[in-house]
Amino acid sequence: MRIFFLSAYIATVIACASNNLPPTGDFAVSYSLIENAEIGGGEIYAPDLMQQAKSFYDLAEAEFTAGNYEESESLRQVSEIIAKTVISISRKKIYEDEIERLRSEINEANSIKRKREAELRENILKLGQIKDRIVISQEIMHSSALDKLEEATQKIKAAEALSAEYLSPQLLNDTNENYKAAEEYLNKGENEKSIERSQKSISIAERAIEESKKKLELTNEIQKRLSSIYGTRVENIKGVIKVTFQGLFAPSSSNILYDAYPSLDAFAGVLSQYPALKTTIQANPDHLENQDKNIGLSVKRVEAVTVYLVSKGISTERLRTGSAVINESPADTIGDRRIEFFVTFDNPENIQQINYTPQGSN
Amino acid sequence: MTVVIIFLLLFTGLSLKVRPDNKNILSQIESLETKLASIKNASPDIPKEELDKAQKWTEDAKNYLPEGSEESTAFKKANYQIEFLSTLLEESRSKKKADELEQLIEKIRIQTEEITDTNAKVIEEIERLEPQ
Repeated sequence: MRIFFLSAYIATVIACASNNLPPTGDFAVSYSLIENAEIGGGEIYAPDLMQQAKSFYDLAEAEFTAGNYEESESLRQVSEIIAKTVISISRKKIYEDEIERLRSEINEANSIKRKREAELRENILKLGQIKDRIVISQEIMHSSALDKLEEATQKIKAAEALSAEYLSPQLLNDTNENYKAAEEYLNKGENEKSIERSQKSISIAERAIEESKKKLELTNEIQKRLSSIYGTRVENIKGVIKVTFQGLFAPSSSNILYDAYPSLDAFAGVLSQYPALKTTIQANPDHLENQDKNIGLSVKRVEAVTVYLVSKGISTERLRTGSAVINESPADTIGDRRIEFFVTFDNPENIQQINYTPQGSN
Repeated sequence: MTVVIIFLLLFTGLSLKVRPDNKNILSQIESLETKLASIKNASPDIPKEELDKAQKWTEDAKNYLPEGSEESTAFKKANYQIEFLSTLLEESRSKKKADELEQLIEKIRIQTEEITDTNAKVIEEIERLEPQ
């Protein structure tokens, strides 16, 4: 068909130019459009129109061959319009197929979206519940922290209410420090840590109370035992047991009198029975004119008592020498030659902190 | 006789002027004009030259109505051209619909991604607050 058209075209070009005939180049365009319509699926999507386009084109060619150029041109135009219509229909069908495919994809995408939305809703709900639980838990925790702190306060008060001399300062300090830390954590909203510190404070306070009670009971027991020793006077001065022995030495002598040994033995026995006890020994010598001699005698007497106690199995680590007491007037000689033992569970250094005025001094 | 001839001529002229075929074609041309007007109004995407062709061929069809052979060719062209324009309009609508759906699916996918991201953050928050 194309060969025919081309031959006809060449043959009629001259005639067209001279006789004002329709341009045969338009046939090529029309033919090309029909071909495109066919390639684009015209036979499938619009077979009737496709057939019409071809028929009109064939008629146009026939009219052209017959020399009816105007009729030929009209028919060619019709065939071209139909071919373009077929192309448009084919494109429309392609779009419709695309629409169908997209609708299917949209359904699938919507399904996935709904699934994700459902998951999100579920998780948001779960998160909300967790947050609610946390708030409730924090409120409970805060309340518990407050209760614990109150409990710690009561315990500390209870510990402090006990006789101060039996309460370990270290333990009291520890319990107070933990209490302060608990308060700080509570103010910062760190309830768990606050509870932990309050509990620690309570435990330490309880330990202090327990130890204090034990110490009191033990002190009473020891005091009772020491009071039963012949020739002693026992006093409790702020938790320190002061035991005064008199007549252990002859005047101006550092030799222990024979009669005094049973009392010293009994004293050594008490120390042996309670290994936690420590004692500071202090001598109160005769009233002498020479102060140096007085001090020297005092030191010798303390040494004599120390040596004797060591001979009875008391470790030197538990014995400490106290400062000599200087008598300044004849009146002070009353009670001279006494030996004083300051018995304590704590470090003997604590004796220095006792506001105690030895008997016979100013 | 003359009167009879005049009457015959007048009758023949009137018969030719209001032939039922012409009436029918005129009505169809009017229908085409209405269609063309609605196509013009429906979409700005239709090429103007194609609209002009339809306009011209419709007017030609009207002008050539009394002449027989010309009328059928012009009418055919107008008819096919308007059908072509209708198809173009439908194609344009289908294309527009496909574009809209393409945008819609893209929008759904973006929303799904956003939902997935938000969900991941929520899950992360849940795991932070309540570790397994």
